[in-house]
Amino acid sequence: MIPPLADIVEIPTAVTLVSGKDARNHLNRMLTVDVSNDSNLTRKESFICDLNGRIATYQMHVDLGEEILLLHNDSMSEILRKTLTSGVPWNEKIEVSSGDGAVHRILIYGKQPERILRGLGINQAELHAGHWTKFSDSMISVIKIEDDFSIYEMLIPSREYYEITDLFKTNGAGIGEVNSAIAMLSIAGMIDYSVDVSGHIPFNLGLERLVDLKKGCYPGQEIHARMESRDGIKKSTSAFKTNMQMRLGKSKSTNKEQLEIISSQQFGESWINLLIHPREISLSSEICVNTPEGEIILTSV
Amino acid sequence: MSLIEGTGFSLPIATITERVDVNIEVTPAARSAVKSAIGEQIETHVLIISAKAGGCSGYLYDMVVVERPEEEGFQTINIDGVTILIHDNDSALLNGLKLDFKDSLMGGGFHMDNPNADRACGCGQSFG
Repeated sequence: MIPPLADIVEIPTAVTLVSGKDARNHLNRMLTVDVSNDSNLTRKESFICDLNGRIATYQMHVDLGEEILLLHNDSMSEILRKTLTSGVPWNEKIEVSSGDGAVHRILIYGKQPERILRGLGINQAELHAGHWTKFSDSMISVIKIEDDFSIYEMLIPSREYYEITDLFKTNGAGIGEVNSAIAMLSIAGMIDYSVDVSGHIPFNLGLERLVDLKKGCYPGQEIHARMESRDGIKKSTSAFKTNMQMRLGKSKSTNKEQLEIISSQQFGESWINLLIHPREISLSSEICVNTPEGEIILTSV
Repeated sequence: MSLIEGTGFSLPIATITERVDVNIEVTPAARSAVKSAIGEQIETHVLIISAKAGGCSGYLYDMVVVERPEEEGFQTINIDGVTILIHDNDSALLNGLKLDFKDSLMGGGFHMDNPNADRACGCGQSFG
């Protein structure tokens, strides 16, 4: 199931470019994380939340100095661009552009992607998860390095997409599937920003690392602070395996626990599902879920 | 060349904002405080009240005393010799605003009462 060397796969992504000398300040007033001191080539994820603390947009940053590239799920494009173009102060210069199709995102994943990267002249030891590293006109970074597999992320301008992907293939990379790549991220305990998580509270997704309660006010901050200080975080998100695809949305376990499946991706013969569940459910246990197709057993990954 | 150079990016996205003729109310206490803040520069400087994205509730109030800006797009309100400017882009958000000033050690300073706000942050600096 895990590619013995590595596969590459393009993950569809929408691209928004925020530019202007005040772009970082403007973003920083709205984001759940602090980007005020980010430097060139910083790699960082963030949310923009609504006033009730629920996620409106989830994006990955590529800091390019006075330009910040944001990668996100296409379903969030409209609200992200509308949010970024409103509330621009009279004395600040900010421009927002769409770059959909101009930049491709590929994941390189498998048991030994480092061997392929080496073939391309990329030293894995020089890559860091919080930083983009230039490769030709493209950028590469680490998503996750586990004992038995690794996942890397690359952003490629459309003009050199075929050239770069051919380089990977020449060095032994296979062509993977989006489902498998997202499933591997889920197994690694990560929610990819291509997954639509709008409407959820960041804490319920286990993404509290993307909520900085010390940075000052941002939309939804009061709600997040109250939840955090009053122990109001009652849910968590984990990966569970099934032998069939799960329907996305809310459901109940046979023990009447409220559950919500936000992602269900095929991985070999199984399906890897991201499940929002009450915190008290033991991750070592199985969960039996009532579905229109009957009772389905979810096994912790 | 870099990641974002070359073709494929759109022209900047423009957002059309509603423009309304702004009316605001400034209480006697606020007038006095604004005059005091501007001081002897009353002939050359103006008070700009604006709203920018951010804060707990979606928008943040901003007030600055600056030399009259050259930018276009401001609406001018004259109150007791003080010039207050509000940008057209903020006009729908700030129309009907009541500006007050409380002279107290705790919670003192300028206060906004905005009829366009559905909710406001506890600190009073943000609205939505």
